Amino acid sequence: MGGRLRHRPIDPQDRPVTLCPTGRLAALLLGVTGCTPSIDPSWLITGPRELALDVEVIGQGPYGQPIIDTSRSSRDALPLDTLSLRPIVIDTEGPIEPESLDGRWILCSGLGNCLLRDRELDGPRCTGTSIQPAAPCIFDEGGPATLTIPDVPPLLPEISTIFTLVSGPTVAYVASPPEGPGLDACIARFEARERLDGCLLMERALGLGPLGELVETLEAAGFDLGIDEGAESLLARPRNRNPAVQTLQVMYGTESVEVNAGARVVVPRDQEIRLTVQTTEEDLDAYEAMVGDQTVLFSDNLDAQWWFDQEVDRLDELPNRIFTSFRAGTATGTVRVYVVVRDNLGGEGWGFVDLELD
Amino acid sequence: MVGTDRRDELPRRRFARSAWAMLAVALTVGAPRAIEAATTEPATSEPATTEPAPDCRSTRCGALRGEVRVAGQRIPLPDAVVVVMPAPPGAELGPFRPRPEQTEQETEPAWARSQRSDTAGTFAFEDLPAGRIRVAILAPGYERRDEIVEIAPGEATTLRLYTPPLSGAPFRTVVSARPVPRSQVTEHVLTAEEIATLPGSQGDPLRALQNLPGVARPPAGLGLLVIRGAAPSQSQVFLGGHAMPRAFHILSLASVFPADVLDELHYVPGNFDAAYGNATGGIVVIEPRRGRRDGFHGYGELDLSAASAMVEGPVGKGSFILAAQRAYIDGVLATAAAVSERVTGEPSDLLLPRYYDYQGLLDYPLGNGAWVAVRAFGSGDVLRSRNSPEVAETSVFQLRTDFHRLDLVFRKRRQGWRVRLTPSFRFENNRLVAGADTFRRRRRDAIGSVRAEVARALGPRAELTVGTDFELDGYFALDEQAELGSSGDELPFTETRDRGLQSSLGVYGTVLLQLGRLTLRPGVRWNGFSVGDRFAFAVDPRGVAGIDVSDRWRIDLGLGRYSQVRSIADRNEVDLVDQGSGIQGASLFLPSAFGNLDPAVTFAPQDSQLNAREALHASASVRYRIGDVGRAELTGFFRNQYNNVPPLSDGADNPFDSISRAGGVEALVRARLSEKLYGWVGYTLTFAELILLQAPPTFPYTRRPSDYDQRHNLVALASYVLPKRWRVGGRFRLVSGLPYTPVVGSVALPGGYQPIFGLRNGSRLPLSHQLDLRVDKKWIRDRVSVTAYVDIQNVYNRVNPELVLYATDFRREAGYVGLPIFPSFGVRLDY
Repeated sequence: MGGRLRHRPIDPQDRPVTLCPTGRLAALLLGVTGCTPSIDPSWLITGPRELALDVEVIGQGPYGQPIIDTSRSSRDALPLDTLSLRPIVIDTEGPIEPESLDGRWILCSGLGNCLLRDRELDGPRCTGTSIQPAAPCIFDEGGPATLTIPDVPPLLPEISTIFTLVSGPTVAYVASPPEGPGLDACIARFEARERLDGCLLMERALGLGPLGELVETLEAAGFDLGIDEGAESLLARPRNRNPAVQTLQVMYGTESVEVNAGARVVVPRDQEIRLTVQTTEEDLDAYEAMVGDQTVLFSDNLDAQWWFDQEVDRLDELPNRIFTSFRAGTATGTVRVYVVVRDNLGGEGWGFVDLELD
Repeated sequence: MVGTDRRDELPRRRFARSAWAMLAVALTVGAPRAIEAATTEPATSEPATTEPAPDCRSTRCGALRGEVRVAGQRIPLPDAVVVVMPAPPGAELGPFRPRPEQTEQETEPAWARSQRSDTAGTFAFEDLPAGRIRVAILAPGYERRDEIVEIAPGEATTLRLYTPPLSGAPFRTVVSARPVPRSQVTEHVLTAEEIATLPGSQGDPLRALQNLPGVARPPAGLGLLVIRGAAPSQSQVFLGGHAMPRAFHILSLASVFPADVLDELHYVPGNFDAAYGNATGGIVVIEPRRGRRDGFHGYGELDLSAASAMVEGPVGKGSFILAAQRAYIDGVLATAAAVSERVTGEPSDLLLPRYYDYQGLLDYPLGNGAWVAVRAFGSGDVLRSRNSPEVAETSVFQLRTDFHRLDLVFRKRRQGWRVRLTPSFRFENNRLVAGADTFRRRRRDAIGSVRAEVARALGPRAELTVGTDFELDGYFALDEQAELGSSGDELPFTETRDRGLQSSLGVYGTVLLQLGRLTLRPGVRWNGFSVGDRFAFAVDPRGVAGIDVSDRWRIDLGLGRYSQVRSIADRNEVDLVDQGSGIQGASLFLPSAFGNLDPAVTFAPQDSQLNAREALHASASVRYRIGDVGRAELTGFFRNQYNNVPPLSDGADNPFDSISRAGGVEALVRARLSEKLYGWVGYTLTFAELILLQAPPTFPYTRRPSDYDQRHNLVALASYVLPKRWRVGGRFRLVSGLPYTPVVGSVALPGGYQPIFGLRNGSRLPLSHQLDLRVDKKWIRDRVSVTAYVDIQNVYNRVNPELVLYATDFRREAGYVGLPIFPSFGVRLDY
C-alpha cells in the first residue's frame, strides 16, 4: 500500500459528472491484495532517458532590452530571437551526444498538444510566420537545432489573455538514439499507435518574454492588450534565465563538502547521504517590484528531479526538492547521480556527481 | 397436542409385520436410504400394533401424546411413522442410539404399536403399559430418531421430538408468488439452493448470475452484470416490478437485496417482454417472497465483510419478513492498513467502502382472490478515503448514496381476470465531498412510480395482458465549489442549485396465443421520457415464438426493439473514462470496463438534447430435455444498438454517434443428477464492437472492440452433498481477457512522463482461468441449525490479469495485477 493517488479534477461547469475514482479503486484492490509486481523505480536509469531540453537564446532580435551577459543563459525569448535547442539524453553509460541523435523538431501550440493530441509527425515545414502554428510543423531534423521565433503576427490568435500567448509556442522532439530503431521507425510506430520502445519524445513550452518587453513589443505593433494595472509586478519581471547545476553539497554523518558538478567524491556506503544543489541569485532571477505602496522581492521557484544509475534506498520525504537523501543499499562501486533543476518559468539546467562508495 | 384418536384402533394384524419390518430395517444405524425405502412402502397403510397388546385391565397403563417437528426449523412433520415398543433393558431416559451389537442382538419386541403424525405433526397413543418405552420416528427424507420415555400410570405423558432432515434436502421449498408473465427466448432461473451454494458467489443472488451463459466475467471478479456484451448501465434489475436505482452496493461488492428474501430470480439476457422497458441489454426480474406462516424463523450470519439477520413469521392471516445487512469491510481494511503502516512505515491512502440494506415485507390476503403487500426496503453506501496523516490534507474524499423505497402491491384474481397494481415511492440521497473538501455535491430525488397490469384469458388459446409503468422524479441538486484563492478553516463556497422533474412512461400490451404446439407472444411497448421540457419517445414492437417440436425438443425465436433514455453513464462509450494513476511507483491502467465500477452517481441531468438509445434484439434457441435430469440448450443472439449520441459540448475526444453491435452463441448443459448433485457447463462466444458513424477521416478508428467484448467465457460448476451434511462445490472458469487501451510510449514533460495511448481497446488482457471451491458444513440441532462455510477463490493462485502496470516512464509494461487466492468464510445460524 502507500500509493500516492490523485483526484480527478472536477469542473463544476462540466455537469453532470460520473465519478471515476479508478485510481482509488485500484488502491483498494492492490491494498487488499498487496500483489503488485516488482517495478523499477522512476528515478533509476535503465536505458536512454530524456533528461532535459536545453533552450538558450543565442541570438537577439530587434525587440526588447539587450541581454546582459551573465553566467546563466537566457531562456525567455522575444519574436525574432534565435534559440539553441539541445536535447539532454542519458543512458546507463552516461550522457549521449546530442549530435548522435536522429531526430525531428516540431513547432506547435500549447504544451501537451504536440505529441499527446496530434498524431501527425509528417506535417508541413514551418513557414516561419506563425508564433503558434494552427497545426504542428517541422522546423528541423537531426540532433541539436536552432529556431528563430517568428515575428509579431498581424493578428493575434483568439486568446483570452496574453498569458496564453506567452506559454503557447511549444517545441516537440522525436528521436532515436544511436542504437535505437531509427527515426523513420519511430515516426511510423507513433502514427500507427504502436509500441514506441527505444524512441525518445520530448516536449517543452518555449516561453515568450519577458512579459513587460513582450507587451511593449505587441503594443508597439498596434495591439491593445488591456493589461491590468495589477500586473505591474509581472511586467517588471526580468528576462528569465536557465538555472544551472554548478555546485552540489554532499553531506554524510557530520561531514559536508561542496563539489562541482561532474566531480567524483568518496562517500561512506553505510551512512545516509544528502545531496543539495547550491543555487545562486542568478538561478532565482530575483527582482523587486512595487505592490501597492510596498516594494516586494520576487524570485523563481526551483525544484529538481534526481536520477541514479544504480538502485539505492531513497529517503526523500517529499518529491522534487533540490535536495535528496539516500543510503547506498545494494549499490556498489560508483553511483552516478543526475539532477535537473527547473524554475517555474520553463528554465532548466542539469548536472551530475559521481559518488564513490567506500 | 391432539385429543382422543381412533387411529390405533384400526385393524392391527394387517400392519403388524410391516411396522416391525420397517423398524428392523431402520434399526440399522447409518442406513437412512433404507429407512426411506421402508417407510415409503406402507404410505397408504394405517397404523397398527403387534401382538400381544398390553392389557390395561391387568396392567397399569398411561398415555403418550406428542408431536414431531423438523429439527433446525421447528416446523411440524406430518405423515411420520411413530412406533412405540418396550424399551430395551437398561436403556436410559432420553435419546436412544442403539450400539451396533445391540442392533445385531435385537429381537422382535414383545409388542409394538405405530401410527402416523397428522398435519400438525402430532400423535397420540392410549393404553400404553406404564414404565419405560421406546419411541421411534421414521419419515422419508429424515433421520431416524429414538427416544426412551417413561409412561406414568394413569397419566398422559407429553413428548416433542425433533428429527433432522437428511443431508440431501437441506433447503426448504417456499410458496412462490406468481411473477408478472414474461416472454423470452432464453430465461434462466436460479433456485435458492443454487444461489446459496454456488462456489465463488458468497450466496449473493446477482453474483450467482455471473455463472450463467451470456453474463461476462466482470473485472476483478466484482459484481457487475455485463449481459451479452452490453454495458451494465444498459441492463436493468427489476424488483417487484420497479427498476432498482442500483442493484449492487458501492464498488459492486454485494447485491442490495439478499437471496433469502427472494422468491424467484429470473435472468433474461435478451428479447424480454414488453412489460419491461428502459433497458437495451438484458433484465433481471426479482420477486420478493412471502414470509413463512409455519412459525417464527430467521437467521443471523457473520462473515469477513458483513453481518446480516432476518426474522419472519405469521401476522394474522398474512406474514412478514424483516431483514437487514451491515458491512464492516471498511473496518477490516482500515485495520489491515494500520497494521501495514506499522510494519512497513509506508503511509497508505485507501478507499473504505461501507454499506447497509434493510427489507421489511408484509403480505396479507384480503379474500376473494385479493392479496395486498407492503414492502419497505432501502440501502445506504459510504465510500470514504482513509488517509494517513501524511496525505490527509490533499485527499479528503467521501461519497454517500442512499435510497429508501416503499411499495404497495395489490393483486387480485377473479373470474378470469388477473390484476396487479403497485404504487411505489422512493427517496434517494447522494452526496459527494472531494478535492480536500473544496468541492461538494448533493442530489436528492423524490420519486413516485406505479405499475398497473391487467390480464385476461380470451378463450382457451389466448390471453391478453395490458399495463403501464410510470415514474416521476423530482430532483434537487446543489454544487458547492470553494472559491479560488480562499484559505483558512471556513472556506467560502460558491453555490449552484438545480431543481427539476424527469419522468418515464411506458404503456404495453401483449397477447399470448397457444396454437397447439406453437406459442406466439406478440407485444408492443410505447415509451416516453422527459427531463424538464425535453422529451424523447420510442415505440418498441416485440415478439417471441416457440414450438415444441417433440417431447424433448423445443425451438424459440425472438425479435424486438428496445429503447432506453440516454444517461451520462454512456460517456464511457465515448472515450471519457479516466485511465492511469500513479501507484506504488508505477502507472496503472484499467480496462475501460472498470468505468462501471464507479458509483455512477449522476448529480444533474445532462443539459443537452434528450435522446433514446434504440436496440434491435434477435435470438433463436434450441432446447433439448435430457430425460428428467436436465436440459441442454443452444442460443444464438444478435443486438444492434443505435446509441443516438447527443452532441457533447465538453471537448470530448470522440463525440460521435455510434452503433453498438453484439452477436454470439450461448450453450448450456444443466443437470441435477440426484438430490445430492447439481451442476452445469455454460459457454458464451461474444463479438461486441462499437462502430462510429461520424468519425472524420483522420480519426484513428471507425470501429473497435466494445469495452465488454469478452470473446470466450466457459463456466463449469458442480455442487455435491457429502455424508454428515458436508457439501463441496467447485467452479472452473476459462475466460478471455477484456480489451484495454495500451500505452505505447510517453512524452517527457517537465512535470513527468505523460502516456501516449495506442488504439482504443487495441489490446486484450490475457486469457484467465481459475478454480473456486466451496465447502459447507451444517449442524442441525433441535431448534436451530448452524452452517459454516469456506469459499476459496482462485485455489491454485493463478495471476489473472485485471490491471496493467507500466513503469513510470511507460517504456514497457511492467506486468499485470490479478487477485491472488482469496479465502472467505462465514457462519450462519438459522432458527
